[in-house]
Amino acid sequence: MKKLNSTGLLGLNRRNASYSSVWNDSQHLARADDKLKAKAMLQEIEIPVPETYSVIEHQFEIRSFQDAKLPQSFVVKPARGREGRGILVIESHTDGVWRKKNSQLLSRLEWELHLANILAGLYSLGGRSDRVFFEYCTECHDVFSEVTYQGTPDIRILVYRGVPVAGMLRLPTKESDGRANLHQGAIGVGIDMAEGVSLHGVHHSRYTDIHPDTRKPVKGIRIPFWKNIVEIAVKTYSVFQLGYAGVDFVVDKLRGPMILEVNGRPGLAIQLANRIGLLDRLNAVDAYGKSIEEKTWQERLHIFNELLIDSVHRIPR
Amino acid sequence: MAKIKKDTDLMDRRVYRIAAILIFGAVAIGFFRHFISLFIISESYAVTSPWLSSIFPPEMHGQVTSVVLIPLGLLVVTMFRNVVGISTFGTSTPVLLAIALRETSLIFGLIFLIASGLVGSFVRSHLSRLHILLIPALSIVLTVAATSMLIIVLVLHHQGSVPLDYFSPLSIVVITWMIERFAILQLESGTREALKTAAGTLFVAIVIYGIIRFHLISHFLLLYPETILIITGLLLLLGRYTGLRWTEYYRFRDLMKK
Repeated sequence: MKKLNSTGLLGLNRRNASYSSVWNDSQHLARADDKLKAKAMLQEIEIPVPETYSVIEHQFEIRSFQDAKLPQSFVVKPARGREGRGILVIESHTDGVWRKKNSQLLSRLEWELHLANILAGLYSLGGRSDRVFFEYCTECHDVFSEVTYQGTPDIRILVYRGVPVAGMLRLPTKESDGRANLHQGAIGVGIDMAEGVSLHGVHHSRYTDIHPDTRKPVKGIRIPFWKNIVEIAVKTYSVFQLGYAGVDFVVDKLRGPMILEVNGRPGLAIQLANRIGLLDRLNAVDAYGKSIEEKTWQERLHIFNELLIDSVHRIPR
Repeated sequence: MAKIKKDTDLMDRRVYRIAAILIFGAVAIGFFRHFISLFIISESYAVTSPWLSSIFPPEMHGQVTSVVLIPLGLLVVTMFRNVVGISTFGTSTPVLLAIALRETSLIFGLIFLIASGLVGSFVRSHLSRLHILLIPALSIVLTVAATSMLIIVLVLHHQGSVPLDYFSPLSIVVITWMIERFAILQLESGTREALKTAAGTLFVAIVIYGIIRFHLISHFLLLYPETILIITGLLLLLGRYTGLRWTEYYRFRDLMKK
């Protein structure tokens, strides 16, 4: 029991009772869950997001959908999808054949079934009917090319009451089928919040320091545009007002950092990736008083920088 | 937008107070009724014959017992989910499954469940090759599963091993519901997660079955329905349990080692 207190581990019960249910109300959660709505809101304050090419809302539109208008490479996503389900990365397409990122080919029948399943809500929160959208396919930045398998890694920043408290780099593996989702077998790597440099990794709840497919060390990668990423994460709070949220970024080779989505129910694995319990950091933010979240983003960024000087917010290498 | 974090200590104290009122109030009511019954010899007050069963006709006693057992089962499910950390299909499914097992007997209930589950997943894997849309596919699976239960009962009855009344409506409802949840979870989170949740549901249901099959317990609940208030109080206390779940000790074992 003593060990437990010293690690300050946050469990699901406490996350639900004391954090996500207190700071995220359902209306705000619903706005963030709808990726199309979320993107529109982020664009309003000029936060970069991947460009949306097209949207399908009804079953009958599938047949007549003109995919010739889309660029060769694009991503298919359900608007209210969860845990990266239903996402299809298309590398190229010609009339009636779609080539996936992992070189598998899709026939017209399979393509239409996939779109129909998304619309029926197969991949969506609560199984409600959904919309499909087609968006810009991000290109993996060179710094990550040695520690990723097929997909693009993403960066999750955990933002508590508008102040970033922890970060995790998520690297796709063969097992995760190119997806940056830890449940599906991606690797989570802790991030030094001051420098934006990757630390140790975790794979299926076990510590690891190398990528299982490329056999390269995951430690010591300097994340490009780190200061921008932190700044955008701080600004995002004013858009969604989710006091306990995971903001997911991708660093595009050409267009720099962009927000992929904002998650109102971030998981607990970020603790394993950073090899630290979250409670100390959350308490450090709470110590700033009652109305941190009402401050401007510059003030909240200032709090973040102050916390970095404090030893609580830094990870021993 | 003004958002003031609720004082956790204050919340805890409030919950403790309500839980204490419920638990001690229920005990007090129980003793009071018991005490009164010693003096007033009347059918409806006699503690030795449950007043719930004096209200309902004898043929409904089985159903009344099932209803008073539901809160007890829910308490067990809540413990397993929030304290131990076992996942189940929904909260009420293990309880309803346990009650269904009580009606069908453990072994035949398990045979129904596993056999119709196997038939269902066999049909589903073949349907997915035909590229059928989700909801029609699910309906076909459930149709086949329900029909297979009927066939199993008929076959077993024909061999003379079971009387026909093992075919309880509740067991069909629960098993069909479980197969639907299993299929959806399998699509959403993969077969491993679905099997894990199914095993968790079955395990919790068997534990509840083990508790409710003692007639003493259902008889006590019928005698003193106040117990339901005690259970509600305990559930309130569990609602403020923010400690780690047992399975989380395992999940974070690498972090604990330090």
